[in-house]
Amino acid sequence: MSLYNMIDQAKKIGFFAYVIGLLTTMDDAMAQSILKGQVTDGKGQGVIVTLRIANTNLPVSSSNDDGSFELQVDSTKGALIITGTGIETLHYPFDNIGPHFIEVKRLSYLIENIEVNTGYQSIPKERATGSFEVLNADEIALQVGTNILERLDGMVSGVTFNSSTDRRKHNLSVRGVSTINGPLDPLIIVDNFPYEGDIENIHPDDVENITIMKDAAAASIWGTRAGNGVIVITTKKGRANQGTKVELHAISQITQKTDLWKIPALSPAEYIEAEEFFYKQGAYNTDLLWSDILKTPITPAVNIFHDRARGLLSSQDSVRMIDVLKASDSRNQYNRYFYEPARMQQYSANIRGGEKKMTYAFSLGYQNRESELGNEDVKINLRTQHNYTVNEKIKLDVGAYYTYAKSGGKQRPAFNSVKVNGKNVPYLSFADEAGNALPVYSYLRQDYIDTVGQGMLLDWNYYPLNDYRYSSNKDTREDIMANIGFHYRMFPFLKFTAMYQYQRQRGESELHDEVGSYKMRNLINQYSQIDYDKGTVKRIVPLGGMFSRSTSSLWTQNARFQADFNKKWDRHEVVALVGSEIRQTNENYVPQQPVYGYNPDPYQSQQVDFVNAYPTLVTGEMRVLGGNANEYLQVNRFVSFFGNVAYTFNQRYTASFSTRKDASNIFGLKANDKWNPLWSAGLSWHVHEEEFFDVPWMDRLSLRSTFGYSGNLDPTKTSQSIISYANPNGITTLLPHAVISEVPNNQLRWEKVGMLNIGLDFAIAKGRLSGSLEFYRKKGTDLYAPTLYDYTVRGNYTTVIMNSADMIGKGIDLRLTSVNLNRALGWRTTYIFNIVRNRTAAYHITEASRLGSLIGNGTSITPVVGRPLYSLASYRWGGLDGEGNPQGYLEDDISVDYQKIFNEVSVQGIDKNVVYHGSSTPVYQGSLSNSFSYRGFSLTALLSYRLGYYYRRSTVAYSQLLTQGVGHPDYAKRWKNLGDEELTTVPSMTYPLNENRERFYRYSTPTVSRGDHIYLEFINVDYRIPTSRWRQGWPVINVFVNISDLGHLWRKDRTEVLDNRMSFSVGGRINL
Amino acid sequence: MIVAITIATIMVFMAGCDSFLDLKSSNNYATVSTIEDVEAILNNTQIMNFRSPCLGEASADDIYIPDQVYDRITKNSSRDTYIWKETDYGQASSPWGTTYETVFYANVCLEALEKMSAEEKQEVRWARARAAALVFRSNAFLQGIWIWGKAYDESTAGNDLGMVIKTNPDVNEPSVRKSVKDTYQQIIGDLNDAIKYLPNIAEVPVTPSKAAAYGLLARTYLSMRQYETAGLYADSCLQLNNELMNFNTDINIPAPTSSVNPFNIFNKEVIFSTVIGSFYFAVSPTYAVIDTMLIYSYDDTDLRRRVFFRNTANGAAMRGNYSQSSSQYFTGISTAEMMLVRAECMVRENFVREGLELIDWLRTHRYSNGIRPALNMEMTQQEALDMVLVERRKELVMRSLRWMDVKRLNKEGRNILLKRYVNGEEYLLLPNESKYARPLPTDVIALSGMLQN
Repeated sequence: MSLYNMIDQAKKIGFFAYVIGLLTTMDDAMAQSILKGQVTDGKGQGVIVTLRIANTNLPVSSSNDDGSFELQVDSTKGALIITGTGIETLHYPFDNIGPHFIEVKRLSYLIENIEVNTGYQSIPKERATGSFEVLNADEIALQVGTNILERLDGMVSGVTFNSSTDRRKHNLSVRGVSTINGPLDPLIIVDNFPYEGDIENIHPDDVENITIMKDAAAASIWGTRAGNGVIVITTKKGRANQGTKVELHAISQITQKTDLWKIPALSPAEYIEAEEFFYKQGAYNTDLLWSDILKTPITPAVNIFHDRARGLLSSQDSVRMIDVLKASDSRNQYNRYFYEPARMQQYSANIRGGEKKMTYAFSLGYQNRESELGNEDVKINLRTQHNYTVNEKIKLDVGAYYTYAKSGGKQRPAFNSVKVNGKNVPYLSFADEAGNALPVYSYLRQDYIDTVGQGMLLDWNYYPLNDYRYSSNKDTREDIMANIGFHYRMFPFLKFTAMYQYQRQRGESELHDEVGSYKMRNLINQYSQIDYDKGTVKRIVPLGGMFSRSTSSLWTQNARFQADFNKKWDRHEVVALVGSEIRQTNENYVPQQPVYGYNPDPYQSQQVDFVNAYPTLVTGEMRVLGGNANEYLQVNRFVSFFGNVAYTFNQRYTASFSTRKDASNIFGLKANDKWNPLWSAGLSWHVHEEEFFDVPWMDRLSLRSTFGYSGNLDPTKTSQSIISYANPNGITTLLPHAVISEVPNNQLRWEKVGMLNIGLDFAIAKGRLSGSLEFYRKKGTDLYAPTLYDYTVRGNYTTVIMNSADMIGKGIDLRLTSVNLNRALGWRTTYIFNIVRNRTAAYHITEASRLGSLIGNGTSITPVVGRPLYSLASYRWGGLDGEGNPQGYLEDDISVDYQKIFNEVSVQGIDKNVVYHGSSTPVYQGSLSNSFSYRGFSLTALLSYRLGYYYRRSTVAYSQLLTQGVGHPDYAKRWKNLGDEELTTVPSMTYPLNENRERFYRYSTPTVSRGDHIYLEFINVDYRIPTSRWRQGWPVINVFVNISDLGHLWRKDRTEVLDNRMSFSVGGRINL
Repeated sequence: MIVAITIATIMVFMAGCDSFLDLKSSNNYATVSTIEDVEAILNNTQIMNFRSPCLGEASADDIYIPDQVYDRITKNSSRDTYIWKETDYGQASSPWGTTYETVFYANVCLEALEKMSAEEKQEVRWARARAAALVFRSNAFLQGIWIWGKAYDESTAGNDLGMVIKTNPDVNEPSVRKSVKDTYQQIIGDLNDAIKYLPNIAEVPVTPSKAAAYGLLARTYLSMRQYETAGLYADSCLQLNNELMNFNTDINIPAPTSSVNPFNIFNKEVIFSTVIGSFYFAVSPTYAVIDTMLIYSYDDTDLRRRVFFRNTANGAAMRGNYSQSSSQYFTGISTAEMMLVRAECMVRENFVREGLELIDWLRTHRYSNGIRPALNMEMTQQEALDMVLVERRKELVMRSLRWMDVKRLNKEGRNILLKRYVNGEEYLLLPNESKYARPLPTDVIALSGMLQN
């Protein structure tokens, strides 16, 4: 190689000049020791690289544009370490000063060396026709947290976080939604098989990489459950001939506590002002009436007003007492006594390695968290994974993953959880100045508690300051997952694989209330049967605590048989697999009847009567103690067949096809519905490999496309009525009874979603800029949608599910990575830009497809033709009138007849008095990540942005204020005097309350805001301690600091105050 | 060759799959296929029994709502209903929706029973389950026609708008309103069909029995003003159960302000237990106070005044219901109600003395021991009828019967004028006004295209 290059080089610069140059450099070398040369790639092009002399402190240098370099050395013998973007790191020994003509091997411009793991096979990304995103271990390590899925946030193109959580277990979606009423979660695969356990079980440090499959290829590989995308998590494994690698990792994180002053609420003074208003209007008369009978408490300020009105208090006293209340803010109390910053510690040790015939990986993880309210959880992970090469044909792998998690503790009360007769009260005190606990009359009136029972009852006061100490909950979870795989390579081109995985997760939930807790004291008192004449008390609930435990278990078995065919000949390459899979999941839940009179040590418990009703103390109402839920058992079975073939010609053209058929025993399916075939087909073309391709600055250009179908049959939607058995209903009959849980509808069909994906991968300017651009379009037909119907046919349900809608989703996923600087100071930028647009294309029920049905909060899917699935509309706003009433429109006229306005919108369907805002989920979103590196330092900052959407703000609702004490700062902005209608949109406080007036304002245009924002997700600073400089073979030590959730950098509309809890983490990593 | 092996393996495997997939997936869910399943649905008392519509009582004159309580009501439809104003009744959880949920449950049972094998159909349990489903459905239709239909009038019933007679669980079938006459015929037909398969008396009176079906027929004919038949069915019912509680001995009367319900839900007077389980409109004792004139009509020694009602600052509120709690109004059939039907019909048939004796028998169980004002047994027929009707109102307060009574009695020229006073305004409902057929939910009308009242 170098001879050819030397001659080539010599031709260019002239032989003489070359010889002279050679001689002079030799001279110089003796004196100054300058190492010279040129770095080229296989095609003879110069490459910019970073050069470093191994085991020295000499400054790092880089080559010029044409690859030539000059480097100071202090010895003519040594080794060069050549690194750079898109090239394989080279260790180049030298024993003279050159010039050295060094050829480096280009990596396929960043993308091509990435393997995508579909869970069935691992293929180089360049051969994939589908849409994949891969997140590697380094990228995973940039963020801190316990949930592996959260690491995808902002890092992956096409994955959205924090979207609405209805019908979702995980808070993320891949490329928006493709169903209206079906399941919305992506399928999670951990090491080849669907993961049914708690995702928190997976320790993030155990993960090697995550592959996200976004298009129809996902569904055709993984079947019916993959309609929302697939996330494949691959854990770290050893590699053959790797030697032993040890990774140690420690993180400590602290998270700010909630800023209670940013939660919408009223100040004590405002709240008391409202209470006074309502009191004067007589709004509390019914409460006062019921308080007499049921002994329910009245809020302290209303008590004072009432006592004053009845002449039991002087006006000076009442003013003084009210002033005391105004001066005490519950938020101070919660903040001082109950809220603490949250903490988290995470440690892991990972040992991996491999010899020729065996590889191994062990890991140990430990994690400990304490929430801001004192909930603690501890998790331990143990993992082992081994591969054995028995002989040339047979390979074996075995592994196990064990998780133990425990959470619980004595949880302090959350803000506003201490109430007075169900109402939030902002002026409660939990402790006096000396820190002694004060009672709060949350459930019963003080004068009743103080006198009832003539001393025969337990203290009936509730002390929020201490009460939580007497109640604890404990959840433990143990999970074991074991797998074994057997690989038999019959011929070099044919391999058979059998895999089996067993998972068992067992959870136990314990509740213990000590006798000191208000809950127990109240229960014991309520069931006390007092005989005042004899002065005796009979206790139905024995003196003592209460303990209950329930258990749940999950048990999954998976088996897979697979044949892999892989053959290359001439310019052809075929990779195919065919296989089948069988799986069973059992779920089981066993509740336990509570034990009363409980004392843990020495163990004590007493029998109680769970059958007969007893009069309760306060009202005399007959009640039965206890009651429990049903044991629950579920077995799901699945059988699948799948096949996948990819043919590549000349390393340029790839065609792929995959198909899958699933069947399950899920309830209610008729036999002929059990099998559901899905397929996808794809093509890819590496344009840059073509002879005719002659764009010198473009290193890579590939096109790929897939099309395929996925489907969804919600198993609960069937042609038969399905009933669920419920408990015997207590006092009435004790007979087993059933609830009809699903409406029979024999007109239901499968949902069908077709998806087209077109992608373009490119790299230009020697890999300085690379990226991918993808366009997709999905069309869902016969989607299940909640449909308004004449409920005479079924009763009591406003909507039924019918195949009533079609949707179209379109989007663009763009990912750009640019290497801005690649010298001593490195700077890399990754930009992600996603467009997600969807709309309801057809909705077969016309009555329900009007704009008016979008009037709401925009948090659930509402199909209206031509509009996004999540979207928002409002009543047309006509301002406040001279009395502070919100005004709308009837036909073209201003009106305050809210009922007629609602009717016009919902029944007559006049769209002109409905204002359509737009999508309530972001249409444009993405992130911008910048990484800087200088020597051992690196700094990464991630910004995310979401644009083009609206949301409904919360506002004051006077009925909520009156009945639940729920306040909102908009209260201060309300209409008070004539003329205020020019300044505010918040209606006046009135009594009697009018539900329609409130509803109208709640859903009118002034309460909608733009949600567009830019958010600073995290900043990560990492320092690699240059220990290898001290001695070769020393561990590589990284220390890092991470700050996450730094808050909004920009918001289009800042009307609403938002809290963000920043987290600070420090940690270290040692690699041996 | 390899392909062939693979395909062969798959074929063998597939054959084994069907049995693998036949396993039932959950212990909690089932299709309605066995008699046990049907019985379990019928045992769902929350839906079959505790679902009586509250719209009748919310519209009738046993209650009123004091101004300060009225002001506290935030729900517009509640406020409007109280003054018979046109409003938006459109919600699935409204009385219309809950009534038809009971109908739906009954229809699911009937359809499942129909699909069973000939052998199963021979079983007594099968016939009983079917009869029970018919009774529940008839009861729902009957409660409904009293609210949403005009009072039965032989001359117009064939044209007056009645209920939707839904007899299958098909959710795709369009709803059509049948006439009042058809509705009553359906009820009578179904009850007669059911009677022969029912047990005389139910173990727990949530289960339909012969007595219950007779009772419902008595109510049906009474509301049709076919008094002779009504009286006969009431008698048939009383033949099976005529026990009465004596309020002197069988009841512990709580303190005057106590909200404790003095009755047991399944006391010996209960023949068929149904209650208003939830209130869509403001008619619960939290809001509604018993009409003052009605309260004054009880004699001092009439224990019902003290047993049924509780004193509050607003007035007398209902507490004595044959139900689980003091706020659930009993709407089912009691022996006392049947005696009152029997008595009324006897008086109407001019068996005045027999009727009055029955009333007196009831009064001995309701008044303080020994201090019962004597009944004048020599009353005229008219006096006796007036007297029986007053007694009926006093005994059956808040039983979801008053609305029907007002409607049928106004048909006989009793000129009962309903009045509401709200914040100084007076609202009137004139006898036989069309508003006596309460409006169907607006959204149901919009979605189905049915005619509104």
